[in-house]
Amino acid sequence: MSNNPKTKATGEEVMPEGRPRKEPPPPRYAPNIIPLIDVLFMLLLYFLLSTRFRQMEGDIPGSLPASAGTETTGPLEKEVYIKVIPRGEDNISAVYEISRGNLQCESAFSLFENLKKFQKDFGQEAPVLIEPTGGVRWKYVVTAFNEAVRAKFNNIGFIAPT
Amino acid sequence: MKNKILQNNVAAGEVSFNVIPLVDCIFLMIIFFILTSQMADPNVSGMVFLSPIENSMGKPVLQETMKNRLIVNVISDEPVNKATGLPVTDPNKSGQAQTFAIGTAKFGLQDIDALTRVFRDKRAEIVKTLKPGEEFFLVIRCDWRVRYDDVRPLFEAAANAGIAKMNISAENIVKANKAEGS
Repeated sequence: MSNNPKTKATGEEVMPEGRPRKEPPPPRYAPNIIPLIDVLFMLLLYFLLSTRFRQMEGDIPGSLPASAGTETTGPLEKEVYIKVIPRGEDNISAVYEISRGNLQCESAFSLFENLKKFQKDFGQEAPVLIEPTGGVRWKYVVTAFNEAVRAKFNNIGFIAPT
Repeated sequence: MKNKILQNNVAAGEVSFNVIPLVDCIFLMIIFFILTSQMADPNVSGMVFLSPIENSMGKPVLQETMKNRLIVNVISDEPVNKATGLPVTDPNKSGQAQTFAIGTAKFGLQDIDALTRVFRDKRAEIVKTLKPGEEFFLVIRCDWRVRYDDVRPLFEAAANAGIAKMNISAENIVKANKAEGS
C-alpha cells in the first residue's frame, strides 16, 4: 500500500489529477525478423544463380537397321527412299531426294507434301528408308524423320551402314 | 495528448514499414524454385536440339525418368557457354562430334566394339525390368549441327547389339505455324 493519502474507499490508488493509475501493459515479445529476411535472400540468390532452364524434349520414333554390313536389297514395291544431300558451304543446307519419281524437295514442307501423297498411295506400313550422304548435318536427318512421321508412316528407318 | 504523441514521433524521425509482404513474396519465389528445379543428371547433358516448327512429337518427356530406354549423348566439340552450360551455337559452323556419352561413361567415335558391348549389357539389364508390352528404345541426343558421319558409328554399334527401336530427341515446342491442310 503506497503512502498516497488520496485513495478511494476501495483502496485503489488515485493519481493527483484524479484518474485511476493503469497497470503497465504486459511486455511484448516480437522476434527480430531481419535475420530471417537475410537467410531468405541468400537462398533466393542461390536459386537465381544456379537455375538453368532446359529445352523441352520430345521423341521422334524410328527404327535402326537390322544388321550392319549387309547388302541392301533392291527397292521393294512400296518402299520409299529419301536421300538427304548436303548443299552449300560447310554443308549449311540440304535437299531431300525421293527415289520414287526422282523428286527433289528443297524444303521440309515440300518433302512433307510429297510424302503425304506416297502415304495415301502405299499405306502407313510402307517402309521409309532414309539415307543421309556426305557430311550432311544432323538437323536435316532429323527433319527428314520428322516429316516422315508427320506423313503418318509407321515404319521409318535408316539404311544399314556398309 | 494523442496528437502530441504523434507529433513527437514525427519530430523524432521514426520511420518504419511493414516487411511482412516482402517476406511473403520471397517465400513464394523460393517455393517456386524448389518445386521447379531438378538436380543435374549425367544421362542428359546440355546441348541444343533442332526445333521442328511442325513437330510430330507427343508430349514433352523427361528422358532421364523413363525406365525403358538407353540414352546416348553425342557430345559436340563446340565451346560451351559457361553461364548457361549450353553449347554456343553458331548456325554457320558445322560441329564435329567429340565423344559418345552414356551416363558418365565416355567413348571415342571409333570405339564401336566397346559401344556394342555396352549396348548389349545395358539392354539386357533394362529388358529384365520392363513390364509386358513395354519396349526397349535407344535414344539419341545429338546437337543439330553435328555431321551425320560422326553419328553413324552409333548405328553400327546398335545394329551389332541387335537393337531395333530408336528415338531421336528434338526440341518439343508449341506449333508456331500450322500449314494449310495439315
